[in-house]
Amino acid sequence: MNDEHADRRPTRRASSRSRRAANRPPAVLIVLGSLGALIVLVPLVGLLGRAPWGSLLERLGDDAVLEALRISLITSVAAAAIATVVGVPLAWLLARTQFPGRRLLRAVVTLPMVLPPVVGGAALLFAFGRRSPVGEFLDEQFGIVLPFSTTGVIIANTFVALPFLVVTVEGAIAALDGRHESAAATLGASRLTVFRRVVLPMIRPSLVAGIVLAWARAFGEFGATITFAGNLPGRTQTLPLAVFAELDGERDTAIAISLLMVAVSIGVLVTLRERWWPTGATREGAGRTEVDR
Amino acid sequence: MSTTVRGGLVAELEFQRGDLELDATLRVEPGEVLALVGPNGAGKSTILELLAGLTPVDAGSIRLAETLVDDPGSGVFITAEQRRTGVVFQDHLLFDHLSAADNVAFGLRCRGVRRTEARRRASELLTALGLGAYSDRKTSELSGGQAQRVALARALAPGPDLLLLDEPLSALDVETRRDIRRTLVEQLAVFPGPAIVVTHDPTDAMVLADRVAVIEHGRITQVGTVDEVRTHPATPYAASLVGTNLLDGIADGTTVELASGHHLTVADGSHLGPVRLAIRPEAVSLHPDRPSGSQRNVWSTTIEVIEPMGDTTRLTLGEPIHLAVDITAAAADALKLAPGSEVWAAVKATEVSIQPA
Amino acid sequence: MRRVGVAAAITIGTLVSACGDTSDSGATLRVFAAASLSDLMTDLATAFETSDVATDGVDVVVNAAGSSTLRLQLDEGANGDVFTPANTEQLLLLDAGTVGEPVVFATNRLVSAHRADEPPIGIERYGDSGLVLGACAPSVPCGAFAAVAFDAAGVEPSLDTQEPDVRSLASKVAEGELDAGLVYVTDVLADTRLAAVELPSSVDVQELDVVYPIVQLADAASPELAGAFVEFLGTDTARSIIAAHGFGLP
Repeated sequence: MNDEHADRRPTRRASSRSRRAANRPPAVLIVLGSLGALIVLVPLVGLLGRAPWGSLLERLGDDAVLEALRISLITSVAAAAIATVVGVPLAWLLARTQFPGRRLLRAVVTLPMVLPPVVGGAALLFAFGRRSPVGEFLDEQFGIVLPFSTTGVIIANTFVALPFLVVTVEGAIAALDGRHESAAATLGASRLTVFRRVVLPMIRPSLVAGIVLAWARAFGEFGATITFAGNLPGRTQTLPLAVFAELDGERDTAIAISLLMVAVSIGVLVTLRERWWPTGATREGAGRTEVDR
Repeated sequence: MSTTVRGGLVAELEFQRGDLELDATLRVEPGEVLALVGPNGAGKSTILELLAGLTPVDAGSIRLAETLVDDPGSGVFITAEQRRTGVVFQDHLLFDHLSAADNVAFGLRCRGVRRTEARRRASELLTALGLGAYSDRKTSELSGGQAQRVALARALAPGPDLLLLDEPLSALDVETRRDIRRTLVEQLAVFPGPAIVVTHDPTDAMVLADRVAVIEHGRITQVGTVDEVRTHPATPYAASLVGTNLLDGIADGTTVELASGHHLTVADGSHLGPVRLAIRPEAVSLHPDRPSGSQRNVWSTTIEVIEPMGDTTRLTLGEPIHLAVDITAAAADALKLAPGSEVWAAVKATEVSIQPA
Repeated sequence: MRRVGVAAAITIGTLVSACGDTSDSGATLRVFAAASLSDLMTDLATAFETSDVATDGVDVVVNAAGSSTLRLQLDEGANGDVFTPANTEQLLLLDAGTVGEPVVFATNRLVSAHRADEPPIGIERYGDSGLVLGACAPSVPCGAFAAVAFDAAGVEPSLDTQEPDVRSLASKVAEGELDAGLVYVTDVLADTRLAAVELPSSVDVQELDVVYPIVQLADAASPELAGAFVEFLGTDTARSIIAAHGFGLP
């Protein structure tokens, strides 16, 4: 009896050590992954290190900063909303229909991701500026001048944010194998019903991710905004523009505003991730019952 | 349940996609269940796709319940959403973001039934299938068997004219398969329209279907009742499906010469020329010495493979006639058989079925 | 663990050797110039390179941007030899060390620019909210001067944008997106699409002196070259180029 116990113990120790060794991640991935994390963390730590902690609240309470925050939130949310309303159908068309020039359209839609934002802003000026057909029409008929207006900021933000949503959602729809959609068709669902009640729910995590990505891009947008909509506190000066303005003058305020943007972004990403964005962990939690499989 | 007049299915299907060239005719009466069996790539799933209206045929026609639903000749094509076809898929394809009841109600809602009424009918159907308690559960939380029953309810709820089941039991484990098979038998018995079950499991075909159609390489190679196919399989695939041995030979009266040169005696002497013989594995008996009974076919052979399968043992015989043989495990023990053992095989002439090749 | 260490060492070593500025001392002169000086500086650079003051193979690199942006870059350690902001305030704010006294080599003045094919708009009309008007952001010199000008002219400006640098402001007026904007006279002279309206004589205030000082930086990679360039700006060759660009001479 004692011999059995003696035999059993060494094998248990050996197996748990080898199990730990087998589960350790590969060295290369650790090194490269850590570098990836550092690329993001180091500048963030630099920012935190230079922050004017003492006067932070006072600076953030300044009217100009609060105005910029208000404009940033309104324009980024509006841009994300517009991008969603037009981008999701566009993504569905690109993924689920055939038409001549589809591949070209897909490439064109991703263009704002590749273009320098200032170039995008310049393009918007050529399209909607006061000397463009559209701009002249709006000016003469309605007295609307899109550049230098809050609406202009929304347009600039939507322009840069839309591709992020379309690319994310199109990828998600294309990744569906289509069989659930066929099943829905056999049950009598029209293509629109299939889109609303099968496709959209099935891509919800990617849809949320796409909307958040679009919002984040709009929130941080600078080049297209300043080129197309200009920079006026209270009307078109968003938080990124405020940072740039303060960078020349009150650098500490610029850093304070930057921290505010980081805080808002982290807040949005963390809360949304928990509720709508199932990671592997939460999906397992929702769980299958093990009963009579 | 809907009260539309139900008719049967008449389908002439010509379709080509990739390597598959499909040319098959199917007729299924209302209330009848046809099993569609065949190897992978033979075209079974494609046939279901065409019948469901997910793809139009290249040529031919599909008529269901007195209505022409697909006829390229006259430009008629009724799409899947307008066809009244219920489909049960191998991996159920339930909408995991919906509860079981909402899944079942889906088809009703699509046809304009109000939400409360649809849910009521869905709950009724789920209860009839023994899933009343799971009505409000998300389908992602259900076991395989439960999910398949919900899938069946979902397909039946809108009262379809045609029911298609694509390998409904393949993804389930053995015990669950038995349960769900029973459920299917019950539901198919009361389903008024035609039904087609695609399966590769001969047990499914035998239990669920009235008739069997064998499809190979896009062509129907045999149609008949379960017994007909079982006793007279027309192709090697059909024979392997039902586990029967199929041998080719030349007949001259009651003697048939096989390719190996060996001769077998059959009871039916009316054939002449190339024939196909079928011998069921249970019809062959094994003996340690030359048996002295009435069997007309007796020969000495060696064991190639032994597979114990619970109460039965399957053996594969080698030269001169390769045969699969099923004997009881007790008999196998008594014979003390091992691969390579010499043994005497015997088959009655009446047990060798014969048909022209 | 040893494998992780080796992998890390190789990766970091590769990165470190790839970064850092390897400049040839003696062959490159880096000029940090205000945006409004970029065209002038380019011509002065070419003249300097071909002058007999410079040794063979001198390459003058002009880095033009908003004066405060340049000051920020220099304070954060960017490599520059000379610095020419658009006002002396940026010199006062500069943390980076300098060598010798700053020398004023050119002057400029603020004007109200408008498209040449449109009616003129003077500073007194900048309170009209029906017009689309612009000035520089207050944190850049051009914007600071604009604020002083509005004050002196007694105008409560109704601006539609505060541009981060005078070049983008000038181009928006030239493109017709803005009806008018307060820019430097040199920006109007540089763009044939623009025309200028001078500020009224009542607005001639000393604080509106736009002067361009040049100063040699202590951190210069090539101090002799830097000093030579500063001296070069006082020569007749340089002064005629400066005048040709529409700048005033001190």
